[in-house]
Amino acid sequence: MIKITDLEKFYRTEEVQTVALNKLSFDVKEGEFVAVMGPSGCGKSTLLNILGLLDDPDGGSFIFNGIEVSGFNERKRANLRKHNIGFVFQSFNLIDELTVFENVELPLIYTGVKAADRKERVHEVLEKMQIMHRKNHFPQQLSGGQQQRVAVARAVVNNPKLILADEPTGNLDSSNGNEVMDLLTELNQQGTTIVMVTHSEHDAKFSHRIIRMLDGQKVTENILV
Amino acid sequence: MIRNYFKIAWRNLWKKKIYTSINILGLGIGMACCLLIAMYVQDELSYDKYHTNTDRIYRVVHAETYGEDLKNTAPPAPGEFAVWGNAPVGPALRADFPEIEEVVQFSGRADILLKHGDKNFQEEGIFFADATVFDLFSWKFIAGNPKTALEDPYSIVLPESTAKKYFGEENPIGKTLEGSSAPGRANAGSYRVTGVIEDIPENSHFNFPALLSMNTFRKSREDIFDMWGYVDFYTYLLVSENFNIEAFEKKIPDFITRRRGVSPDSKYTIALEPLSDVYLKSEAGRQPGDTGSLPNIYIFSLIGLFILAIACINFMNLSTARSLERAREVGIRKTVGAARKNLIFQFLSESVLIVTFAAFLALLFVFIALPFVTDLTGKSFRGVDLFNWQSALVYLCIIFGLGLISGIYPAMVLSGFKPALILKGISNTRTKGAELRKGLVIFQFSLSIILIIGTCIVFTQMGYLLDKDLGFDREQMLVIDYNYDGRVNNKIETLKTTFNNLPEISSVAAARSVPGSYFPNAGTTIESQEGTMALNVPAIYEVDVDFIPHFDLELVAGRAYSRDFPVDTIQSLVINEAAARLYGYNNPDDIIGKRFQQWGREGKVIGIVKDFNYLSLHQNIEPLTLRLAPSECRYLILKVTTSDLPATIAKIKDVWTRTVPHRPFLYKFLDEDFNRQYQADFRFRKLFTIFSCLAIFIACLGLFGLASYTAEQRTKEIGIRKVLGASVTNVVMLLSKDFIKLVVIAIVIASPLAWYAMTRWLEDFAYRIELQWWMFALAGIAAITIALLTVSGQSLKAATANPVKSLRTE
Repeated sequence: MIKITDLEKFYRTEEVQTVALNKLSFDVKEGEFVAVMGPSGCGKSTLLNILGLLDDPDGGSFIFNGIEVSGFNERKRANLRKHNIGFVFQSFNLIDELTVFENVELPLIYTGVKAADRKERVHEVLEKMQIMHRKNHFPQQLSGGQQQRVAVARAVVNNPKLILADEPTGNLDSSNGNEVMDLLTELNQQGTTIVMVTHSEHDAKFSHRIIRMLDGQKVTENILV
Repeated sequence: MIRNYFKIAWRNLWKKKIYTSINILGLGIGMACCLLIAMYVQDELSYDKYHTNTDRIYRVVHAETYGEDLKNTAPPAPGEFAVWGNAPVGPALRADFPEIEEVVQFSGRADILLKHGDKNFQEEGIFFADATVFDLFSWKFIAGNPKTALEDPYSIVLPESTAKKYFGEENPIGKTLEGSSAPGRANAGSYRVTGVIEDIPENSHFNFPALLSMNTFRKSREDIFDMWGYVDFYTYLLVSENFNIEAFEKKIPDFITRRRGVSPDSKYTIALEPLSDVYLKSEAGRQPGDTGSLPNIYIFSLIGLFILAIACINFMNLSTARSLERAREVGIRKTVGAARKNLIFQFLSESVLIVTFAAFLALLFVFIALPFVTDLTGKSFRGVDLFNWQSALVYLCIIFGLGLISGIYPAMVLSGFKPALILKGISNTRTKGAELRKGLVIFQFSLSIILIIGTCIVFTQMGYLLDKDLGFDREQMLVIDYNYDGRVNNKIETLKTTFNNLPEISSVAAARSVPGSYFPNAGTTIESQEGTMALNVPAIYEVDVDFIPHFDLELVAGRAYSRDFPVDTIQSLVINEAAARLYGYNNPDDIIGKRFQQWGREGKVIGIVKDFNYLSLHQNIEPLTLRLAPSECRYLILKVTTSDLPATIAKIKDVWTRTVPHRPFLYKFLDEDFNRQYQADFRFRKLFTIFSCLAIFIACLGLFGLASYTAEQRTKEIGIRKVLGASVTNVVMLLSKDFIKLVVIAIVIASPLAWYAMTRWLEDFAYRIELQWWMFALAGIAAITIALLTVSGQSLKAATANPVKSLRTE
């Protein structure tokens, strides 16, 4: 599903150029659950942004579903993203002004799903995530665990092929964290490919394979399953 | 999707109440100003457009040059024409040109005492009119036959309000009104009411309390209607559908030669003005009514746009200043699949929503302001005029237009955020937008400062108009208008003696004209330095022997009229310096003793008075002759020396009603009457001041919003500075400095622009102030003070906050 080869990304300020990704290469197969680990600043989040088509690499190749996407413009990337990729963030990133229902509904709006279908699908997902009773609440009225469940619901509502999770349990206590990891595992078991960036060895163990990074390069790769 | 946009827009607006109120209030005021200005401008542009034949009606304007001007072969400038002209030109045009289908002539403005039963009023501004008048002008008849109403001598057509004044609810048709004489036009007589028309719409270039048949005039002065040199008529033409004005104007010289002939003493020509232009564009003199001012329309339209621009900039600035708050939302939306166009659309719908609220607020403001505006502009606007489908359409266009204009920039900025950077917490948008915001604040304040400087200069100029020494005594002059009444004139000496005996009155004089009132011109020949007789047509004041000392007019050569010289009554003439110059005498002493001829009188020039401003200060002092003609007088002028005016006026009235009981006691004060000429200028000053205040208020609203955001964004910096030892003053200075810098730049930009604009404005006054540096400095200081007051509140709040708290929140 994903094949990156010699991927490069630099951040420039006026005087300094920082290498975020240094000729990074690896593959992710469909249905796989991959964890990416490494110390702060090793390029994990940059990698996730590029995989999520939120950012453009400065060099190398990125093939997504058999298509080279590294040269895509913003419109094409947005289009590919909204149909194929779901995101889960450490800080949940829910829109404060929208209710739970509306937050989850958002991706469906942008993919042009009709209102009646939207309602049905959102309800379905909210039921699955067990937060149906909170659908008219605003994010600030929820606990961290509940917020992350909403975020996961939003990520999966469009049935994406790929879920990118950036430290999904980073802001949660261990029991809420485990719940979220269980959710992701379940999604993976149902066929969704997952790439997760994490600091937590505990969370990483839920994955099939751990890629460890340092200074923008892959250091090791452990296959768990 | 749209529902979702409006939902989140609504929640956002509700959450940020200060930001929302600033935007809605600012835009609301801005739109209300624009709406009111638009109503005003639309009304000004609508003058005389209500006639069915507006496009086919033209007005004849006349120009006649004499003396030195004869050598000038260039056609007369628009300002040299006069609307008032001779009678024969109308019928001659009708007879000679088939493309002229109808002619209507008016004569006026006549002030006539009308009487019905015990109702007795002096009606001012009555016109005599041809019977064809209603073929041209679509004034609606309520009663009577428009074809014949003004056929017979001594027939009168009344607008509804005049009819009601005399006849109440009775049917006035066939009833009579006793009219006093209209000197030079008609003898006293009984006027039969032959028609009642609806009141003349306010948007007419002239108005009247009654129309009398021209045949009334013709009956008493038939000879005038064949005299090309007798000026007392306004001529309007109805032309054919395919009338070509350029082609017609080419035929004018031949027409004049053929009909009037060529005179060695003068050169006469005519031109045509389309009816739709006469109110705003005519520069001709001697207008039958008030004229509008095209420059004022431009000025106010521009001010309206300024105010709206300032309000829109507030919206742009506050939206982009808040961009950091919205950035996360943009990032999330993009991550879950929003394309840029979705976001642009979302932000635009927010601005449209704000503008919609503002539009409703504007309507409310307009309704509240309408009575004041009516008072201020002298126009009666009705709120219902705002509610028709055209207005609704315009309103919708404005809402979407403004929403788009003010929303597009913030929408572009916000939608351009890179989600990868935002979600990481990095944003480089702050500095980029900040520069533009500064630019826009400078722009706003430049506009506001131009208006402040303008206000300052308008005030100074108006003060100058009121205080300038006009060269004659205008204080405490009570002017009694007896309208040439022969019976009063017969008793004038008695009246003068009685008034002079009152201790509250220091002197009394009589005259046909007083400064600020109507005066005629008179063909006057005076012997030139070469010994030939030169003809010119200077202004004429017919006065009595006391007029010159009474007004304290200064003599620069010769002497004033005197009772000691009986010859003065028929053989002497006093003129002003400008008249002496007109006849070629730069040294006034040289014209003393020269021969003159004027209106059948011959004699010698005996005195030159120093030029005095008998015209408004918009105009230069024109040549004037002061003719001794006590029997032609209309006004009795009393110099009152007491401060107890009501008692004195009662005394004067008592004398008046005892001496001439038939004549109503009508009086005015000379200075008030003279200053009435500046009514339009005062109105301009008031409107200008109000709009300037509103502009600066809206600009300050925006500045306040920006200051509070800046203070909010810099909380951490302020905290650190305070921990390191900064005082409250330091912090206030720090935060205010940036804004003041912008205002100072705005002053630098605004000053030359204001200087240019106000120099142009002042050109309309023959007598004007010099622009001084302090006017600009004063406006600058005012702007800085206002800005400082606006900003310092927010700065102080930020500066006095507990630093520990602000650092902890970071």
